Amino acid sequence: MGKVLLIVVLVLLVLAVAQMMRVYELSSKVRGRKEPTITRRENNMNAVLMLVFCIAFFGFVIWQMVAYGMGGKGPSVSIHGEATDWLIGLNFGIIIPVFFLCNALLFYFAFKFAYKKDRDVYYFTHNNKLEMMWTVAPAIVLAIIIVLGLRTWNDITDMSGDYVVHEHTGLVVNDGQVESNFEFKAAYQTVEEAGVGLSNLSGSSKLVLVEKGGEWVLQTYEMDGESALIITEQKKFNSRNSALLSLVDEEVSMFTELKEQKHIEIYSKQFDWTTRYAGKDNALGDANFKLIDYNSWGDTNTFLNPLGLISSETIELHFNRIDARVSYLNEFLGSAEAAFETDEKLAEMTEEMERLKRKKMRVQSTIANDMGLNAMNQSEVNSRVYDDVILKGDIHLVVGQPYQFQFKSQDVIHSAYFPHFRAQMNCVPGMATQIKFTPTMTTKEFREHPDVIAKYEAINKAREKVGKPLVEASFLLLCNKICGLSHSNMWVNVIVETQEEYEAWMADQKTFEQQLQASNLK
Amino acid sequence: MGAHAHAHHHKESFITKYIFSQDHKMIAKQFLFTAIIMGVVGMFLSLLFRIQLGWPGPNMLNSIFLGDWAPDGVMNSNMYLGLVTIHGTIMVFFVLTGGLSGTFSNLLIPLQLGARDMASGFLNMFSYWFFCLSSVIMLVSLFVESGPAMAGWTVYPPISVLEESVPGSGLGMTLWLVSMAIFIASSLLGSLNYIVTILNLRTKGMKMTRMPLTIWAFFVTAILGVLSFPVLLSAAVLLIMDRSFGTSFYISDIFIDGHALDQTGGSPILFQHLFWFLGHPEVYIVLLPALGITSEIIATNSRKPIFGYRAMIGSILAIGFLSFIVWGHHMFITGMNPFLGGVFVFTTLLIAIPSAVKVFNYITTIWKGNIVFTPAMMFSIGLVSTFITGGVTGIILADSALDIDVHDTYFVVGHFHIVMGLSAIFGMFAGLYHWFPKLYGRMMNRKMGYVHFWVTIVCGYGVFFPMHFTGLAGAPRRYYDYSEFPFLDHVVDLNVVISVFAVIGTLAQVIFLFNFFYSAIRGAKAIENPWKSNTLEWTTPVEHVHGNWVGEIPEVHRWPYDYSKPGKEEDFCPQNIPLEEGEEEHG
Ligand code: HEM
Ligand SMILES: [Cu+2]
Ligand SMILES: [Cu+2]
Repeated sequence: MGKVLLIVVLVLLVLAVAQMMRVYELSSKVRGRKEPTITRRENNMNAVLMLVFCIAFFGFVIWQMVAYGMGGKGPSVSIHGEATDWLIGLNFGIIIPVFFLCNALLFYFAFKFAYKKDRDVYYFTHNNKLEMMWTVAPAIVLAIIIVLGLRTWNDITDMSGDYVVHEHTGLVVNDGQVESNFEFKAAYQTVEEAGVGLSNLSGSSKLVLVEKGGEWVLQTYEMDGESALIITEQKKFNSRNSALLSLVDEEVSMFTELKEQKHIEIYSKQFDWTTRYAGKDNALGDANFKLIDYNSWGDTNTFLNPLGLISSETIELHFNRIDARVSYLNEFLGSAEAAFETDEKLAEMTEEMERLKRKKMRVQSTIANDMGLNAMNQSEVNSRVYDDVILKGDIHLVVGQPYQFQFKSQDVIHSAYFPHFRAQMNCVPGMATQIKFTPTMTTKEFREHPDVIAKYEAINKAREKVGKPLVEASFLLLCNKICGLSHSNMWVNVIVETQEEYEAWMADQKTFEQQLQASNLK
Repeated sequence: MGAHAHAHHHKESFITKYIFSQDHKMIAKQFLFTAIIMGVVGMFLSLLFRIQLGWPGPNMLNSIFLGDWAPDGVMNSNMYLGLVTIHGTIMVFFVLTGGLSGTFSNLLIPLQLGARDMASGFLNMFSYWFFCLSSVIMLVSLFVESGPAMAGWTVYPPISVLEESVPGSGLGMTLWLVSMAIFIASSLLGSLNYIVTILNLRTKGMKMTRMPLTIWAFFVTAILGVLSFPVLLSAAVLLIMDRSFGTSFYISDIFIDGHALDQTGGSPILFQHLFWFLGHPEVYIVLLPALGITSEIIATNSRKPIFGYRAMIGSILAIGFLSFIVWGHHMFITGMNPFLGGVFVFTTLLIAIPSAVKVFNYITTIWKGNIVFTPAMMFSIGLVSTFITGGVTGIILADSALDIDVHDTYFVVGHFHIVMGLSAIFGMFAGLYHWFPKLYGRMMNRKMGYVHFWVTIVCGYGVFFPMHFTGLAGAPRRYYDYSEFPFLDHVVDLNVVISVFAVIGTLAQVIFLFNFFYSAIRGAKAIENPWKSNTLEWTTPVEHVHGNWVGEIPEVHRWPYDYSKPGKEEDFCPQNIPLEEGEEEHG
């Protein structure tokens, strides 16, 4: 493909140069001559070119549609992404014919009605009926686009629905791991609502798998009347896989799973991403940018708090560092050494000292008070943050697990763009933005998808030719808002895996509490 | 004042004639000349970064033109951002706003309405000199040591506020803001003048409903400018305060360069609302004059009345009105309330209706016409084609659920370049080829015009169409290198295609420049009405005179589109020809 392109392009280049030489020649004749009126030959030639151009242009467009397609990102790997893809398909289905038709008419008429001396020109100033028609027709089409578009938009942006129901079928065991096909059913705000909702899902099985505080509970339920749900049987398992294995043993092939939305934070700064997993309690701890320590100021304790998380320890640490710095500055300014520094430097130091003092007062009166450093809710605040897991680099997600993402930025606006998930949200300093999505395919499944295999075979063939290392498909999170020097290099992989793989990976990660302990702060 | 100015004009020195001129025709030429220089610079910047995208790595051009910003000929990625920022700013504001309106509103409003000059020649002169000054400052900002503004043409804070975030947010950004503030002053002076002139200085018989569509377009454009540019000015002033006086209108909770900033409580999103409150009307400030020019040229060269004159006016007004209530479509994924997003989807898609009406009316105008392919006519047809192509992709972008997926990707870059970089620029070229005889009293070379048109439209589509596909494949905009993303490998060759077309397309503009300057000095002498057109400017003498008409200003008796009217000998009938007995004005 690349070669053909190059040749086409070279031919065009040669033509262009040839044309320009001709132009030069012509222009030398221009001088002094009276510009003659357009000749019939010229006019007809341009008319024909209009048609030729139109055909060539359409050919160019069709070639691109065939060679590159509308689905350049591959299959969507989130639940809402399927709706997005369907909607974009519908919209293209509308606009592509409009594009071809209008352009064809335009260029064809340009060709057809080229000047002829005795042509009968139609003195046609207006026609209300016609104009009404082509006002109303687009209006109707647009109404359809608006209604369907807003429906999808409302679904995607609806942040309620803390509980999501999936229906699983076709359980198979593979290497001791159970795999299943699942279908997204509905989202609810509370467990109770979900229970009632479940009973209304016709065809749903009477078996529900729920995660509760790290345990997996398999419930059989029945409806008592319209709205009351009775659980007739409960079995507990300590991993999802063992619960599923028990289903396989009993030859159950269909069950419903109630999943709580997991909270996750994506924190951006120039030029990297940090992910914070909410931990067991599924609640993200509090944070404030004023507690960020980037510099330990000579402190032997090198613990830094890059997200500004709030706990008793981080506040204390921050105050200690401020105090240490202030007393250092104070001492220095009062010492004999100060005499050797420039006035500018001294003024700078004085200012820094004042700023730190101010800051400490502010932090004391806001954050420390809010969290009640001296009061009751301290332990609550602490427990929210202790189990959070903070990691730079690749993001790990569980297939079928609904996520609610919270985005933050420390410096400038970034944008978290997940092309494969059809998701994107800006990260804006000073506010937390949100989206939700549920991955539907593991990275492994994605790599085995026929479209993806075909795409990467072609890519690797081309890479092999130029001696570049071969690559595998993976999901990405890219920065998509102009943010400075490494804007185009601000990306990480998103790894989607099964619950079991995720748990195995997570078991090796340190919680915030463990990090504090490792630094002897707790 | 009028009498004084008149007396003054009769004994002109070089300075009052060519430099501090108050004559609208000279001012139009000054705007044009400045815009051409800016256009050449903008185009050249794009050449630099297009080469970077097509063939990343070291090259000669970088070493020659970027100096320290390209060690060993490899472009620094901050400089890449600086180049796209200044390119966008120059093209949108200096070429397509200042240049397009400044040239054609100034030239045509008095001439087509039958006025001796603008309402205030004095303000008009100031409008130009502000424009010139702001252009100079913008160009100077390219040469400051810490680089030009690098925050994108939309200069979103906080990146535009924090010098620590990119070097361009230092002096470069200050110059950008100063330049834009002066530019806005220029634009406001110009727009007020246009509005007053159109409302007050029409010749006898020139009812609003007999005005050429060009004037209608300039009129609505000027109103949009007057209502929206002040908002940008306020936005810029607040930005300056945040940058220099420690206020926090736009910034909050920022930790950068090792310390937490004191400012809290502001919102970066506020700036985006203010910016796009101008920004969206701005795209129509750019496009409407081009559409007006096209309406005029298509009717003249089809030798046929424009179809649906009143619907055309209606659609200009509708577009003008709606363009004020759609700005949020640039902000669907800033975390705005989804309900608000829904409202913006609705209003945005409404704009497609008047746009569609315009397209259908153009197509109907050439249907059963008798087309004379002047270069102006060809660029006008090109405009209609690109307006169709760019308009339909707007529908995808306006659908918020889909915008999540394509926002800030090359799909958007493709969309707006097709409507601005092609449609609006084509309108400008069309206008230049068409009114060149009025500007310089000479004709441009037609054959060069043909070559210019064909190479430009082929390259134009060749550059901007493939961008839709790289965008759909997930390529974010404003990346300075795409070669390190395997998931984009299958579209990376499109980047080469685009860059090749871009280089050829740029070279084709040399033909235009040559033709323009050569013809201005040496071109064939024009006759009074070379295109057999109906509007009043073609009743003025070829040599410019003050006051435009030597004797009385002609009186207007009919609408401007009596082409091929049944019962007439000729296929045109200028506005100043009285109706014959029993002749209906138009049917
Ligand atoms: C049918 C009419 C149109 C519709 C529905 C439409 C819709 C949109 C939407 C929704 C966006 C935001 C996309 C995004 O950032 O994700 C956009 C961007 C843009 N449009 Fe249009 N548009 C239309 C016509 C035009 C015209 C006529 C122009 C200019 C002459 C134009 C110029 C632009 C520009 C410059 C941007 C991008 C600004 C930026 O982010 O840098 N559009 N358009
Ligand atoms: Cu970023
Ligand atoms: Cu817009």
